[in-house]
Formats: sequence, C-alpha cells, structure tokens
Amino acid sequence: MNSLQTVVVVGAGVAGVRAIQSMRSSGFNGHLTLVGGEAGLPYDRPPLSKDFLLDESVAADITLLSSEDLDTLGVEYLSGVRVERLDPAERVLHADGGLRLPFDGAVLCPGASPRRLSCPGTELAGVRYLRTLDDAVAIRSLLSAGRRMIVVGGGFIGVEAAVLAAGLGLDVTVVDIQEMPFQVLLGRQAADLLLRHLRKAGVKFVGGRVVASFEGLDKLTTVTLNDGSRIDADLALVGIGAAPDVAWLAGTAVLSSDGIEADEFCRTAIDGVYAAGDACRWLNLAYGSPMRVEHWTNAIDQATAAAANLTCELAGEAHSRTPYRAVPYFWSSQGAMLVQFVGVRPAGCEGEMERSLQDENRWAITYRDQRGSLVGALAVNWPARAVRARKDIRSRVLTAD
Amino acid sequence: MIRIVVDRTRCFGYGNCVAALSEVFDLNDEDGVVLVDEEAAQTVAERQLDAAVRSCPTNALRINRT
Ligand SMILES: Cc1cc2nc3c(=O)[nH]c(=O)nc-3n(C[C@H](O)[C@H](O)[C@H](O)COP(=O)(O)OP(=O)(O)OC[C@H]3O[C@@H](n4cnc5c(N)ncnc54)[C@H](O)[C@@H]3O)c2cc1C
Ligand code: SF4
Repeated sequence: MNSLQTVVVVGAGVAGVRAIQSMRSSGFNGHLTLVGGEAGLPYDRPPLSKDFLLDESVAADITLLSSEDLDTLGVEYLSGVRVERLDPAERVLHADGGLRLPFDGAVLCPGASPRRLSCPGTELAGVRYLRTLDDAVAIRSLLSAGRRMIVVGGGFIGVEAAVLAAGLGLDVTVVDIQEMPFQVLLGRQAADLLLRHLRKAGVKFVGGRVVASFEGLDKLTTVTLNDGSRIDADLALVGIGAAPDVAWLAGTAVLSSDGIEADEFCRTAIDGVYAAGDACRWLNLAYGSPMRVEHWTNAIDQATAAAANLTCELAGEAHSRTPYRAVPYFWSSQGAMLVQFVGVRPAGCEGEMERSLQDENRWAITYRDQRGSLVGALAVNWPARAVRARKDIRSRVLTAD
Repeated sequence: MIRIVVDRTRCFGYGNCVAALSEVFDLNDEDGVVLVDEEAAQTVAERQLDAAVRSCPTNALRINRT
C-alpha cells in the first residue's frame, strides 16, 4: 500500500463515519478526508425521532465521533462543506468555496433527503420535515402539550414522532395514503395490529387520504385533505419518505434512476469510487438483484464492506475483494413498543402469526416463500424472536453459492 | 485478556452484535438483552470483535483489553 494515496469520503452520516473507520481497520494508511455537508461533529439519526424529541440531554449521546476520535484515526474532517461535483476524468471532487479534493479512492455516502410535498402552503411556519439535528431541535421546541399536530405519512419516522407527541399531551392525527399504516410493507394482518397499537397510544389515524393544502396566514392553522375534510393543526410533520441526495452527481456515470449504482463490491462505474448507505443501490447477491436500503444497519455494514474493498483495490488486490451480501433489517421504537423487521415480505404474503406464551404484548409474523422457507419476520417486543429469524434467514441467504 | 463490557441499560435487543458475531454474542430469551461468551471473545479476530461492537446502534458494548 502506498501511504501517499488519498481517499475522500463524501457525507459524514453513519455510513461515512463507518467508511473512514473501516479504511483504517483494513489497513489503509494514506491520507483520509471526510467531507460533511452539515456543520458540527458527525451524529446519528435514529434517536432524532425517538428519545431526542423528549430529552435534550440525549444530544451529547448521538455524536458518532469526537474530535479526539478523528485525530486518533488520522482523518481530516471538513465539516459544513458540500461537494458540488465529481470529475471522474481528473479524479477530483469539487467542493463549495472552490475547494479541490483530488483522490485516488473515494466512498460516496451522501444519504437521502426528505421527499417534499408539492401542495399549496408548505412554506407556512409549522410545516416541518425531520432528517437533521436542526430539524429535530426545531420540532422539539414545538412539541408542547395542547397543540394539535398532524403527521403526514404513516412511515416509521412519522409514527415514532406521533406516539411520542401523543405521550406529551398533543392532539395527534396521522394521515396516510394507505388504508392502514405499513400495509404495503408488511401486509394487512400486521398493519391492522400496528394500527390498533397506534390508536391505543392515543393517536388518531386517517387512512386513504392525502393532504390537498396547508392553510393559515403565516402560521399553519388548518390542513385540508383530498376529500375536502379539514383538520385544525398548528404543527405538521411531513414524513413521506426520502430520496437519495445525488443531484450533485448528475451527468456522471455513477448514477442510476434510483441513487448511486454499484456492483456487488459496492463499486460504482468508476475505478476506485465506491458507495454506501441510503443513497446506494448495489447488486445484492443474497437476492440476485439490485437493492437500495434506507436503514441504519445496512448503512454501517455496507460502508464497512465498501471501504474494505476500496482498500483492497488501492493495494492492487482487487481479486481479494468480497461481495457485500445483506439481509435487510431495521428496528423502530414507538413509545415503549419495539418493532423489528428482518428480510423481505413476498408480494401478497400475509404471513403467519405467532404469540409469546409469556407475554401478550409480544408477537411476531413470519413470512415464507413458496417452498416454505422463512424469508421475512416482523417481531414486536420480542427481540429474541427477531434474532432467531435473522440468524435463520441469514444462514440460508448469505452463504456464498 | 479481552473483556466485553455491556451497559445493560442501553441494550434494547437490536441484535446487530449477534448478526455480526454470533460466536460471541447472543440474546437472552427472556428479556432480550445481550449475552456475551467471554471465552469465545478471546479467540476471534480483533477486527471482527471491533466491527461487532461498532454495529451496536446504542453503544451498549465496550471492549476492555488488559
Ligand atoms: C429521524 C430518523 C429516524 C431513523 N430511525 C431509524 C431506525 O429506528 N432504524 C433504522 O434502521 N434506521 C433509521 N433511520 C434511517 C437511518 O438513520 C439511515 O439509514 C442512515 O442515517 C443512513 O446513513 P447515511 O450515512 O447513508 O446517510 P445520512 O445519514 O443521510 O448522511 C449523509 C450525510 O451526507 C451529507 N451529504 C450529502 N450530500 C453531500 C455532499 N454533496 N457533500 C457533503 N456532504 C453531503 C448529508 O448532509 C448528511 O449529513 C432513521 C432516519 C431518520 C432521519
Ligand atoms: S447490538 Fe447493542 S442493543 Fe443490540 S443486542 Fe447487541 S448490545 Fe444490545
């Protein structure tokens, strides 16, 4: 390995952070730069829709790396700097302020940004998205008892925030285009149970509707839905999904129609340029097809794998790279309830219900393929069941052919 | 000697450590909190152990090398 080589990691989310850690632990001893578009130390996102909304003291805890950690790793961290362009021919990343970052290798981890609603009134004060620390700080300051909150989109982030807000004494309504939350993802049986839990937590749910407009003078006061019904609200949290943050890569060979395209080693179409995290669609040999996964565990595992593979390539040992195979996994905590999902749900499969004998709040739904093999599982308040399913699915799907 | 220190109040049974290194980590059936096989921890590669510890979403795990 040539210690004069330079690697630049773009994006200082959890994928970017694991990428620099993995570069070092796989033996890269050259120059390493981490470029983060947000100011401040790298931080973790999952708590932003959970404890962080309740308790400010969690803030210190969500930091992914301290300045000392960065020093120990020998990483130059450029915070609050956005990369604007990738020049593949010159092998240079151009950042704002005219900064030129030449590289031998790069790992692109730009993550995703919230999808925006395009209906009238989104500019009103009180209409919010939740992705960054700043977003979470702003939302927390608006969560006072007695307020009326509407959550647009019944995804995990929205539902987590809704349950927390209801617990704080807000009057909360979730509006979703689906009849029940998580119906497309998990099937009707699971969605029905999760909806009951949501209602028990004191959250109202309006399904099969979308927002037609937000209204108010300068502050939000009313939300009108597409059936003409109106809901009074002074806070709206919009959580309708995220899209890869890749506009800055437009015109380069690394893009697909859905984020950055990478092969089974997480390498893009450009030599020495790898990708990981929410923005990366790679060839997942575990399923034999391209996948893009927007979950924490994939971000860290993929970044670790991509950086190790880049280290091999830079050392002239591309043949010893390892394909990154993954079984999707995520958790979500909704108040006191822990939801875990592993694997995939075959289209149309409603799954089989399992209940714990010890505890009625524990249940699981397992999804099987046509041959009867376990391919996915949802576990609620039942980590031991989730881990068993995860081991089972991984042992079958991840073993190399 | 390698010791794995678990902060039980921070472990929520996410199971990432188990997925990363099932030789060393498992979950307790009852409360879903992590179990560590200290003996196995001595024999696995340092890099694997580091990666498993870093896979914990809540930093519930720490390695003490003495
Ligand atoms: C509120 C919230 C709660 C979540 N909860 C869970 C959960 O419970 N469980 C779970 O599994 N997952 C959860 N997730 C998802 C998880 O956080 C993501 O999968 C993970 O953050 C992805 O990491 P990443 O590094 O790929 O992207 P990101 O975390 O989005 O980080 C990318 C970073 O790159 C920066 N960047 C982008 N473009 C550039 C550029 N051109 N130049 C410089 N910097 C750039 C961005 O500003 C950003 O800081 C949650 C996400 C959110 C937002
Ligand atoms: S990864 Fe962390 S939270 Fe999950 S089981 Fe292991 S120690 Fe517990």
